[in-house]
Amino acid sequence: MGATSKPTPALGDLEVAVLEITWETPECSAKEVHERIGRQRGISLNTVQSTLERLHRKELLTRSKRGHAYRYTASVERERLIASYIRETLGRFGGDAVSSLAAFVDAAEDIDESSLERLEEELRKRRQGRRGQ
Amino acid sequence: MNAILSLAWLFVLLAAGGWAMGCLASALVSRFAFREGLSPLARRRHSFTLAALPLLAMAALVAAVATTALGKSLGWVVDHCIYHGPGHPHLCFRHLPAIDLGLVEFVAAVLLLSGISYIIVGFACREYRAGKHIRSLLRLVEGRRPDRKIHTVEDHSPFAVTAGTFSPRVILSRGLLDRLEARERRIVVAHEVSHVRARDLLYNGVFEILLLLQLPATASRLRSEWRQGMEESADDRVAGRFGREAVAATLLKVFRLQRGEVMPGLSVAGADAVMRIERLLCPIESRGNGRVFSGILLAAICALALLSAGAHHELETLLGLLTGH
Repeated sequence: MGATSKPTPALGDLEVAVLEITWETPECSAKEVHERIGRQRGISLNTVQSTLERLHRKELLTRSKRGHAYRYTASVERERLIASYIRETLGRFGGDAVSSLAAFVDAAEDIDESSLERLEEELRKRRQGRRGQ
Repeated sequence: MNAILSLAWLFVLLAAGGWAMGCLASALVSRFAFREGLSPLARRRHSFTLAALPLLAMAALVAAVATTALGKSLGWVVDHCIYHGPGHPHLCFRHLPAIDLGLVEFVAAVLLLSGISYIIVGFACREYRAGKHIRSLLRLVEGRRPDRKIHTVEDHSPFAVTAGTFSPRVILSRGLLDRLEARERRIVVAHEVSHVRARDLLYNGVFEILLLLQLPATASRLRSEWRQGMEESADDRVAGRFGREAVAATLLKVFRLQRGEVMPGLSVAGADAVMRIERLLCPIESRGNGRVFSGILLAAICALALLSAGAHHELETLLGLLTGH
């Protein structure tokens, strides 16, 4: 997902909840998903069905027909999806400085090797100096 | 109706003048305001005040002139409007200016509105798109533990980020945590948590809004100084607990780890890590917290307001020349 040029689609609350179920239970039907979260969230089977359909269109679920009903399977792992969001957020919006994100270190590729070596040498000297005392 | 539009047009011209003065001052002062050895707090205060300068100059000029105009209407200030001819562009609520608005004013107003709309809509779209992505990310990361502020994701790439404006969360990758020692892990977590506690990302949002009024080159300079100050502040808070050398060594290690990985374009607008490490290793005695600098700039804004209130008549004459009356 992250490796392709297609952007990772944004997800709503319900979509994430449905995805969580498909990650826990491979191959589930709309009815099964509704049984798990329908009453708790106060939503109808139709809503669950349209959410599954939307996730299928977003290429996050694959489906196969069993009898009269579709059975859905997650097509991307949870961790891969999270990683692709992070990479896209840091990469695609990087030039525009996303105000709601801060990374521990930024722009690692912009620094030249000699600066890093100089700093590492400085740290080494300090540590050796301390051991020598 | 025409007279009211004329008065509004004069105030728009005044606001544009204030904005231009603020932008010019920001562009000039920002070249000299960020000397070496500036404390992180001072760096942030300097950049914030400079970012707000166009808005403050605009507001001060309009407020001062509007106050004088109101004073004239209420009889607090000597009404000099009666000495002028009918075509004089009065900045007065009682003697509305009788200037003719023509095609030039119309085109200028359309251009101005289009420019403002372009900037605001562009910013809103960018933030909306990024916000949607970050909200999706946070929803996924939080999963069934929305109460937790720190989350780990099973990704081999080494990264540590804080995401979210109002309810930020720290996201750490397994790829980073597994390659760090226990003390280094605590340093990374403490650094990110300090961003959360200081509400850095919320202030970031406000700062980005202020930058909308700046010229692109100045905005870019101020943004980079702001981010530098933000990261250095977080480094200092962590260094207080773990020691400056330990924080510098951890930064260097994470840096090395990220360089070895293909992490596409980590925020190019971010802080300069080499500067951060150098500062941690060789701390320069930095005095001041930027209050004097901000105070001087605010005093200059007040002086501008007083000057424009006092030079009310001269401003009217200048506007008359600009509008051809």
